[in-house]
Amino acid sequence: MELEKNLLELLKERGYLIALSGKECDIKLVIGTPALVESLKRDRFSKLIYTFVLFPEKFPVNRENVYGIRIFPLPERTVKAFMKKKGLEKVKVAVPVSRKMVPIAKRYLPEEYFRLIVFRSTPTEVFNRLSRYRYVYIFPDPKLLRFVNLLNLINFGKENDLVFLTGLGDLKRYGVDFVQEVSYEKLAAEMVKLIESKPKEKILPCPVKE
Amino acid sequence: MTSLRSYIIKRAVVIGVLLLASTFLFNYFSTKEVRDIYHRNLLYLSVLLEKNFQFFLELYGNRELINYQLSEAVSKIPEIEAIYISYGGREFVFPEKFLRVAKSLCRDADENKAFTYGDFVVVCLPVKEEYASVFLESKRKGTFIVLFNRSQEDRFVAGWLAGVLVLTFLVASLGFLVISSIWSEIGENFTRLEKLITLVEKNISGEATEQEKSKIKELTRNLSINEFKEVGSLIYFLMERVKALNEEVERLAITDPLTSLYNRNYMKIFVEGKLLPIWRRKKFPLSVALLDLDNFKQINDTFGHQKGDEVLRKWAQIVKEELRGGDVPIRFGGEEFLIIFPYTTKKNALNAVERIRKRFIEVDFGIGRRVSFSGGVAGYPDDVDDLTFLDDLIKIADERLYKAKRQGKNRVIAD
Repeated sequence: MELEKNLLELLKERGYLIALSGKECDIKLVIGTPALVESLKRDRFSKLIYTFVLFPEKFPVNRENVYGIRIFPLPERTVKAFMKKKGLEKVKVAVPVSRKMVPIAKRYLPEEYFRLIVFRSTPTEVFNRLSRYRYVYIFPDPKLLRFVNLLNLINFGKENDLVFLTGLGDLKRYGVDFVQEVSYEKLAAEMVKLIESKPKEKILPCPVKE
Repeated sequence: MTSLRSYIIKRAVVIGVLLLASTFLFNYFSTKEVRDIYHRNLLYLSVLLEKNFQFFLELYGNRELINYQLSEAVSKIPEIEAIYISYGGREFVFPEKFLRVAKSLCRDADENKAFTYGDFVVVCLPVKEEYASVFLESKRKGTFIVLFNRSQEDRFVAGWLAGVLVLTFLVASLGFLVISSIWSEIGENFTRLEKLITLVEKNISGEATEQEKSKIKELTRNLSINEFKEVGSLIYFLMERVKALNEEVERLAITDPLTSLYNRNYMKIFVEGKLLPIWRRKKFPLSVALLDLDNFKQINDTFGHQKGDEVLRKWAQIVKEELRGGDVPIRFGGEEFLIIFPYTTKKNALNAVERIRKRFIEVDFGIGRRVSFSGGVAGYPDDVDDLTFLDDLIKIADERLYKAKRQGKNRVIAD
């Protein structure tokens, strides 16, 4: 319980750098991409449990005794939750992504639900194309999530009655319409549970708030 | 042993030194702290500028516009000497001459820092990509450097220092005023108490003049602090008590306890110390009377000593009542009184003694008979030419007393 409580505090404080301090432990709980990268490179461990990593597939995590929990729900899950809530049958969701992010975006965004709208430097380039859709998913693309770019996109969306969806909890304050966000309490509990268990899946789904 | 005054002066010097030292230390550390606060404020100001310019760069990125904004910031904020920005591989600096210096100062600054460099305070900030979500890791994109001139800082610190010094001076002055006003009141009381003690010592030893005696009361009254007043009153009370005891001792030494008449000790003091010196100068008439109770032994033997004492007390009472204030009655022997009549002729002395005899014979002591006394009176210039030896006159009075006894008692003889 104590570990779970401490972990919860760390998660809420985004304490991924603090996790680096526990290098001598057998079982490592790491929070954040830099901590994961460092641990994978240098540390010896009997088990590594990580979270707060946006795209774990980019790293060599498919190893024995390395387990992760996603920090945002997969876009498909978010869209399904949205459709269920709104009673919709099937929707096509536009996703503005920068060119550099296309390969990873393709892995996360199945064509059944998503249409990638690729821009080079700012999303303003693709506003015209976006306006043809009703729903827009905000993917954790660093270029898209720059303040200026995100604010421009949201402003454009509001003016054109677009509905924004995302799995990043803190985008709520920018006026995103539907947010399926991580539950830190559940995340901490699952990390603690992973210490003892050995699930088949190497990357566990993001525990979300109900 | 040290006096209160020197004790207070020593303590005041120690406190003054401590005050100076603490003022110096306080100023030293507070100035250091003020500089730190000033640097922190410069850091916050730089962070705001950095955010501002980051948005500019994100939104427009136009080199002329950014340079213009830099020059505006430098000219509008007098503390700023120069600003340098490197962002996404691009460099901006105003004024241009600081490009080299600025670049050399903050190589690889990983965190915000402010430090002094010659006449400048340099603030280095790593510029990081800002995202709308915390889930994305921020990466360093460049450096933001601001050079502030130190003249403003010095003015700020000098102002602070002057303020602190003025405040310290005011507080110290106020403290000095409060302490000196308290001390002046206490010191005044101490001085009065000291004077009071000196006068009391003089008064007890009998050296005080009348003016000094009245001053004692005045000093006791003028003590303004309660505790001092209590001490003063106690001293005054003790002095009065000592005086009363002295008087009582003195009185007991010169008075006969049974009759309350003077004893022979007093006679010696009075005659040699007061009477004869004055007589030698003025040669005034003087008489003495020697009186002796008739058959007193018989009264004692028959009715006891208590009755005898009663007779003596009554006799003495009548003697005192019939004499003038200046006459001196003395218990000369067991049942023998001597009366000295200064400024009195033998005739007048005889009259006084006769009055006493007549009054005394009237007293009823409840023993079945009256009690009488016999007396002999002698005087200057009737019986002697000189009073150098009063004993000569007393001797004559004694002879006349025996003569009176021989003639049948209850009479006074003056020839």
